[in-house]
Amino acid sequence: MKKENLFQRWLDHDLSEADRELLKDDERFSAYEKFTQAAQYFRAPEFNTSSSYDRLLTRQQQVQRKSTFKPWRIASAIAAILVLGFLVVNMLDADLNTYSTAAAEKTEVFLPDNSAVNLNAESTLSFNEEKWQHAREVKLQGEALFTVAKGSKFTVETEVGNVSVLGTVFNVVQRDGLFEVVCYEGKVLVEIEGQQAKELTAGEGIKLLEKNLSTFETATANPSWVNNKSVFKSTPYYQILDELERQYGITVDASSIDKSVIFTGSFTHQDLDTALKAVTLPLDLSYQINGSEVKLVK
Amino acid sequence: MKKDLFDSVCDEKIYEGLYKKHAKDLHDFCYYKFGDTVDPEDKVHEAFMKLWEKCKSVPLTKAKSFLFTVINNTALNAIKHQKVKLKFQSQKPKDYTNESPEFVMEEQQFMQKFERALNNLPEGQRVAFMLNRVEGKKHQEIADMLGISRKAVEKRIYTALDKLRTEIKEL
Repeated sequence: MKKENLFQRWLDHDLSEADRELLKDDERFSAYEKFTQAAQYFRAPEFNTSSSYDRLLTRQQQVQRKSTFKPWRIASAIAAILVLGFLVVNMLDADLNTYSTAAAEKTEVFLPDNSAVNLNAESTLSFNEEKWQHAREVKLQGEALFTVAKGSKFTVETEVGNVSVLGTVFNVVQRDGLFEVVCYEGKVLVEIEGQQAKELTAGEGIKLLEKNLSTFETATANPSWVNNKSVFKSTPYYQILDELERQYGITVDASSIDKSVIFTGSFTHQDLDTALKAVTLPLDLSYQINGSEVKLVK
Repeated sequence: MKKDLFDSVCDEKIYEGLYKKHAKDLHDFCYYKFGDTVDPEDKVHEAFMKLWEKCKSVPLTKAKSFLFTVINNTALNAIKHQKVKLKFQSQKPKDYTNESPEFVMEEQQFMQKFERALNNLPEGQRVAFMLNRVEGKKHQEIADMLGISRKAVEKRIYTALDKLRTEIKEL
């Protein structure tokens, strides 16, 4: 009885050293002591209360940010709905949804089936939402990267030719004198007026420049302009200047130089000065910036 | 006297105080009961976030049992009857010197048996045993944490020790 009492006090961390001596030789006690030692190996991981509290606070802030509705947000939501409504009503009139980008602007458009279209500068995309269920058709002027959701035939119509696919990623350019299609995933069918239809698989491209048709291969996963860069391979110099004008919303005066030179190189969309250096230095040209006008001279 | 009325959990100071006071116990409780298959800190956070949501309806005196109930329920939902395993911590709490190979082997065998026996304990007994033996909690403290009587805590610890002893002898 006495011993049970001692055990109980030991287990309640309430036993004096002297009383502990009394238990020392007990077989059960030494077993329990051994368990206590062994149990230390299974201790819960360290827990730092104050750093854990900080983590709790950040977590709570994140949740609150998600759930709180500030008045200005509601106001801006209403405004957005009004603007959208206005646009939709306008478009229903024309029966077409049209998206355009200005110079130095890029945008991403989602089609009704969640296919994505990245629209490069000075490009126009239009499609008929009503007929979308029956025919996936878009019209394009300019340049765009298509990421098409799987489904029925998807067709991009341009003035020069049509590109059709079942579901894939591809880039289309149709600008004065140039028509170019690059396929990044899957397969596409390119139909150019007056030419035989051509099938492209991933990594292949086709280019129609001044009525010269050529095919080429690419190793990149998406066109460079998506990453804010324009890359050209053996392209007439005026095309590079056109693209420069579109990306920066400037006009380039290059009347004193030869614009038919073939150029291979690239420029960034983020800094005009760097871009100009990239395209002028290789040809030993210099440039002057006058507001939104740039003059290239020998 | 009526201080209780004004001490709302919604007060950030009080809320933080509650965290400092109970977070570690909640964490240990969760770990010993469910092992690290649930992320114990995550469950502590969830319990406290729930308390903050309900801070107007939970009086300060009930906050502690609220927290323990919530953490128990969220952990139960998370594990859905997974088998609990307390992992053997590789670092040694003590440094032994001059160990003979036999001693090392015996020691290893004992630890393996102990690990199995510990994981075989019913979770209530394991929690009480670990809180008492490892975290050094008194019987009354454990009783308050688990919302059971002090006598029940004593019984759980005793039964746990007894089971460990017989199971390790058998193996």
